[in-house]
Amino acid sequence: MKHAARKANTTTFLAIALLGAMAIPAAAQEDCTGFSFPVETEIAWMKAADSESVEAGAKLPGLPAKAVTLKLKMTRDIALPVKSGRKKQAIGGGTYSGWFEIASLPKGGVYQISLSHDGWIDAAQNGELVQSQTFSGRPACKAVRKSVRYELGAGPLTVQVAGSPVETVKVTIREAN
Amino acid sequence: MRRRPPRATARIAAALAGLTLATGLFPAAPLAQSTAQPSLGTLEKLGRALFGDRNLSANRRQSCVSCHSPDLAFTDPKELGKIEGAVSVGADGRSFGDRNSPSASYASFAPEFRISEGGEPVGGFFWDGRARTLEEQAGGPPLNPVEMGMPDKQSVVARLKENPRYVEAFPAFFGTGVLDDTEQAYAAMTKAIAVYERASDFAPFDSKYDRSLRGEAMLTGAEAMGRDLFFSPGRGNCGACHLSNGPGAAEKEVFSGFKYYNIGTPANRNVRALNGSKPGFVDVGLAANPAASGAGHDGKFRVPGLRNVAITGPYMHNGIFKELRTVLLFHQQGLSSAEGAWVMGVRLNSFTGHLWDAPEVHANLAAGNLKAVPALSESENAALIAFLKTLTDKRHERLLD
Repeated sequence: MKHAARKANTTTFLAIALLGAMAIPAAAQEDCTGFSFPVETEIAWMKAADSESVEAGAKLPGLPAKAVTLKLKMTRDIALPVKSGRKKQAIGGGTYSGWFEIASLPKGGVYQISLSHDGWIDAAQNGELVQSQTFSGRPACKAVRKSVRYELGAGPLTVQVAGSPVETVKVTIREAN
Repeated sequence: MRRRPPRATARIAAALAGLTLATGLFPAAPLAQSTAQPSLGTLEKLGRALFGDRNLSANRRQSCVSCHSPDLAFTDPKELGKIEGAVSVGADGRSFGDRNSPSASYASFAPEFRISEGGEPVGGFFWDGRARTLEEQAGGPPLNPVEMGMPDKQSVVARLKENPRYVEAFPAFFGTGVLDDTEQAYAAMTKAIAVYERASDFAPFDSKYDRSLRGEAMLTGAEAMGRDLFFSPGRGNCGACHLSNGPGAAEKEVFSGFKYYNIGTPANRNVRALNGSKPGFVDVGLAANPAASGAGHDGKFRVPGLRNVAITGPYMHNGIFKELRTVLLFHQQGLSSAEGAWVMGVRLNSFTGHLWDAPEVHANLAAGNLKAVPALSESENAALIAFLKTLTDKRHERLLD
């Protein structure tokens, strides 16, 4: 009798767990395949617990070897250091934007900047936007929404994020493979 | 003593384990990995790779995505300084076109270009319908000197052959040797891109309007009022030109009848001053489409769909109007009756206080259609805009003010 009750409880628990799992269809759509260049490192960094948390406008001394958790501000309340070059409606007034600076990239080369959520990424050096080399994005990937490659020079770098639907995003930057 | 596991518990546990593996819901589940060489195992995936491939432009700096970003309803997100987003810049970074890059979302719903039984051009792609099919359209930009700028099809195919994934995928989908025949290879490329453009990424039909039709959302009072104005022949009368499924609300409506009209849009002098147009150049629209030969087509352009219209300005074929409100007022005020003749420039643009500029092409003005557009009140226009905003795909709703 006692065993039967325990069995029933276990069955009930698993059934509830199963139902609970089935009730989260969005999470079931995780799919990080199909990027046109490698993002394994970015996925690992985005999912790691050791990200560096900064406020919009922060200055980092060097290239972080982990994700940057960036707290953005309402787009309408913030002026980015360099105009994004995108249409007003591409950013939207009810979204979040922000930036951080890296005091000095150690060397020039092709770098990959990735963003965890919807939004636009810009890289700026010497007060001007750097034209991207290539882009890859997967809406179904919860860890890395998009990744953009830029050819950057050594020295200071500004990374801007605009038009995010969420206040806090994660950003990674590293030299491309 | 061996104990058999409870059967029901085991079944549920197995199901749960399978679900866990399949969905990655729990920390122990492995995350689906990205790959440096993504599979091109379907024609749609091949098309997606081609759509985003900058190597298909002369200087390898522009792809379809450059002017048709999935992050802005497959339109061009770039403002381009003084161009103010009216037209797009070419791969060379210097050339500007003369027409606004239309949204590629829901583009696949346009019918093939044809002349109707009544002799009226319908459907097709580009503003002038010069591409009969979506596949033909996909083949246009790579060879356009002010877009991707490749010199010829042969050079495009040579770029395809540079990519080992394409070398593997093209024969698999289109037959051995396809890349050895320039015409076949180019046609295969456009076919793959068109297949991708027909995918659900481009046409999710998940806007608030769609959800309201399915009973999943309720329009606000203003949105509902705008919807009623839109569909009302006696009031907004928008449906006269902007419906493909006949009068009334219907699911999977893309809000264009795909016909051609000259509604008197003025030339975009700002763009003309910046894109090197020859003095006196006139964009005659449909009249330049060989398939629509015949009198009466000067100045006509295809009616655009209205999906995502609130976030895809500037508007009209030349991007002359920046605000949706201007477009509405232009439809209501741009043409006016003077002594029985429909002429331009008689009435004021109530938004700016200036006269509307004269149409670029005076012939073939759609006076009858526009006469049927009554002037709406301020609150009615606001309601109409509120309704048009409900046509925004769910993933772009964050961009609405």
